[in-house]
Amino acid sequence: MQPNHSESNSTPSRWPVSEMLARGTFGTRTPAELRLILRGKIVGALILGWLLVGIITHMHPKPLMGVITLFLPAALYTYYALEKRKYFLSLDELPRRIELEGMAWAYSVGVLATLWLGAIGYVVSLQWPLDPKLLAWVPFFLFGAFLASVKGAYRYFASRRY
Amino acid sequence: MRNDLRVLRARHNLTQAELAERVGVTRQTINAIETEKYDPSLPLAFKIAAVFGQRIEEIFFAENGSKVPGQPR
Repeated sequence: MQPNHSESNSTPSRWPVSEMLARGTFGTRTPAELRLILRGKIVGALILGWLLVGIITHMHPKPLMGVITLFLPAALYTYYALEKRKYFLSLDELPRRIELEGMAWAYSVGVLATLWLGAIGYVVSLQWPLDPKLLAWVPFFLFGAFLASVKGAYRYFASRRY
Repeated sequence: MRNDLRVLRARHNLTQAELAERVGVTRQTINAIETEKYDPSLPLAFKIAAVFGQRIEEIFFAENGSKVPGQPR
């Protein structure tokens, strides 16, 4: 079969959309990426298990278990973040640039969102006092998810440019 | 920055994927360079030039500049 040399004109770069949005990777199937996907599945399964246990026990574990279960998602995500760093270092220069730009955007938007939401939250709490227990930990999880969404969205749109 | 990468690749009978593998990047990166949407780093430009046995300035050149110094495009 003859190689297709004219592919540059007709075929855009286009990393697989499903991989980018679902897994946050570029879908190039490198060993580093496959390793990250496997580790991500394991971490995801453990966090899901943690959530199920929390729901089943109505989030009223004994004090020691409470501390362990509260720190479990953070510990698991720390491990995943280290794995993600290894994957990031394995990327070639264009995907790495897209990732870096995504991180920069997520940081800037995150700071902006913190300032706005903090101010709005304070004003709202003056009128309708919120449960301090809820305020203690829910915003952190939501904020983490928000930052990941910003970076994911940037990664997707930036990759369409190339 | 402009380049003659697509022409050179065709002349050397290489696909984007083959060239990408030789220089250690993804096919998408080679595609982005060929379509002039992305300018490669200097180390990558050196690697690409080495694959084709040419100097960097014979493959990559400024938008309105000459390909080889002293020769207008």
